[in-house]
Amino acid sequence: MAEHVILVAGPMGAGKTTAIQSLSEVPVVSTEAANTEIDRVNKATTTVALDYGEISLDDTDKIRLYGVPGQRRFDFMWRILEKRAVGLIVLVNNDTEQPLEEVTYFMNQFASIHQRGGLVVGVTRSDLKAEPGIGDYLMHIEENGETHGMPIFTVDPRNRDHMVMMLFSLLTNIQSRAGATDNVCLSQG
Amino acid sequence: MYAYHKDKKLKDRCAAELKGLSTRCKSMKIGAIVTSDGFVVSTHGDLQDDGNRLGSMTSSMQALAEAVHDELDLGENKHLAFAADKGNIVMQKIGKYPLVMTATFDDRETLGHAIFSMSATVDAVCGQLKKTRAKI
Repeated sequence: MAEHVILVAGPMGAGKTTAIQSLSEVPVVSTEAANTEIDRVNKATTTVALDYGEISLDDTDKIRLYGVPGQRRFDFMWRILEKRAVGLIVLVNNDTEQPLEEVTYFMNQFASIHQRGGLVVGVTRSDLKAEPGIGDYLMHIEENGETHGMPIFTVDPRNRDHMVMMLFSLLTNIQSRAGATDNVCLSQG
Repeated sequence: MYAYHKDKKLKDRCAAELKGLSTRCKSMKIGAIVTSDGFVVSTHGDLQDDGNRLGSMTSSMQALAEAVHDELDLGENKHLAFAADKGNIVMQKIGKYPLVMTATFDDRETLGHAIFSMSATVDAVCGQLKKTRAKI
């Protein structure tokens, strides 16, 4: 069985834990702690180590999904979890302070995954704040040196169909980029 | 959620309890009390970056341990201990509060005594917490 490790990254409150809960076919392993920064991000709990879920592609292929903590102070977990990943989903909540900068920040932090695999961006909570739009994200990402025509979606992490669409777009992105180089297998595990 | 790490009185009281532990337990090198989401309340000993890194790591380790306990249906986590060549690390939740104490002890200390000593300090910190507005 081939196993592909995909990370879900992004700022606190973007919906990473919810996205993994929507996608996973097994009970999600969560490491939630009470949020003492409630004045900054209004949610009761926050991920402090990882979220873990699984989804089968077919009889032989499985995706292992890891959500990383959003806060910078947990970046040691980012370095641990990125090692085996072949793909990255960056989720950003459109109502956060600097959503464009957050996307490129997380893209840069996980540049090694992007180089060897693929990346897709999901914009959440755009129903609460419409701007910036997808075009603004594309322009900002392009200004920061990305030229691959990266897939960007507006998504609701609670909606499994949205998340499946984004995941499969990521897998296609990984395969097309691998095919463009040496047709390597998705799996690193 | 009560911002434990912003309560100056509590920080001072916790620092005093950590100092007391180091007095009773000479092998203790570093001690910290952190919120369950990784913010430092108090530290004792020679720590880089005011203990912020250790605070975050303690939070992650505690949460991972609890996830394993849940997975194996082992009930509530009591403490978490690591034994290494040069000493031991013990992490212990502070009662029902969203706080964790972590301490390192050099190799003069047995793990059992380190846990015993820490438990007494955790009880004392619980007593201090009852004097604050913090709710369990």
